[in-house]
Amino acid sequence: MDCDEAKTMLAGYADGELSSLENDALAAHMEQCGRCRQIVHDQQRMQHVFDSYQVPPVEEKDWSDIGNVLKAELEGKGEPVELKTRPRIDGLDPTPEPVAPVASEEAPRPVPIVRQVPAPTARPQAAPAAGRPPAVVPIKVRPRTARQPLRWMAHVAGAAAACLVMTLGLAALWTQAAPPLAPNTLARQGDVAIIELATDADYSVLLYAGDADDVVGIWVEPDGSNG
Amino acid sequence: MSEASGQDGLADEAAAQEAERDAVLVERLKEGDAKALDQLYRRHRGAAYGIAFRLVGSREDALDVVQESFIHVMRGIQAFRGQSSFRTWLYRIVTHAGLDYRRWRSHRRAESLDAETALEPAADGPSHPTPPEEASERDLRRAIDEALANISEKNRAALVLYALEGMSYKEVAEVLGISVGTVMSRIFNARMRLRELLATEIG
Repeated sequence: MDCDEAKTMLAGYADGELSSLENDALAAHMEQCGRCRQIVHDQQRMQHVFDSYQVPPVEEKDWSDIGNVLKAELEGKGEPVELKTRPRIDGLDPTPEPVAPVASEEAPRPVPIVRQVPAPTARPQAAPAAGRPPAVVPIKVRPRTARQPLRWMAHVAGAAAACLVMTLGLAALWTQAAPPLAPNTLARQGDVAIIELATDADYSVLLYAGDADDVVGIWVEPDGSNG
Repeated sequence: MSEASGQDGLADEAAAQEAERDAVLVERLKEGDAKALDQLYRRHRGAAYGIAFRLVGSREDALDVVQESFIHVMRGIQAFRGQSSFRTWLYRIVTHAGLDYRRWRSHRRAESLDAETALEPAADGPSHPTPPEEASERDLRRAIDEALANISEKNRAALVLYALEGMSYKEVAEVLGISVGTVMSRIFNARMRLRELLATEIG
């Protein structure tokens, strides 16, 4: 072992912190090296000097004052202590807030915030309205846009149905009115009767009707060419 | 040799029992038990003060560091998982808080130094005579204070923690989160620097 290697362990040797193997190896080196022996001596001496550096005693009142501050902090009484130090240690917030006492009964800040947040299950459609002050706006808008075409369709369908009823009614009246026209029958071709509905100087309107009063067709032809 | 190892075994067993007591108190503190806080405070305040004083060099400042450290403990206790002993965790907090405090104090002194010297004439020392032995002790303490101020933070922290009664290299390593070899190196360098700075006072 040379001095450079020994130097890394001299403090441990002076403090008795080495393993027995390391200790024996270093002891063997120092038997031949006065310089390393002197360093070990200086290490022990400096430790004695430092140990003699007694800390001044603390009065019980000072301990009690700190204890009272800690208790108040724990119970959340009074203003939280503003800290000058922010040790960066695992488990400690590097920038701790001067609040959140452990198991505080009042819990001044967190509780109102938690209570202001509604239960998520109570608002399944809260996401689209999140951040929008009037939550009822979509509810008002959506029915209008949804019901408008249905209303028009209903009107159109109703009108169409009314027209159909009126048409069928007129047709029924027309067919029932046909018998009075029967005297105007011009000719008969099998089961179909040819009835003259109207005539003027130029045209004649002829109705071809079956036995069951079914209208087979309506024929308009220039007058004088009956063929 | 066997007697020494037997004493070490007893010390380890006692330390384990103390750690178990701390663990019980920590669980109670997590539930907001004020008595548990008081017991933890009473058990560790002396050691915390010893670390803090050697780091900041003033009684009042050291008490301030102790108070802040225990407040850090209270605010962070829910996050403490017991991966290390409470004592190790507390010493780590006190060490970092002490170094933080020292920086804060020196920064504040630098800010107010000009204003104070402009307003007040410099003091010429104590107004009443001091016994020689008390004066020499005070001088040595002041010299050590100044020497410590000129040792790097890392080396000083290792030296201060090792000066605590019952602290081994291994425990210092746990508190500082470094290897035992690094602890040995830092303590060695701190003492060598201390010897250099105190050469006049101690010969």
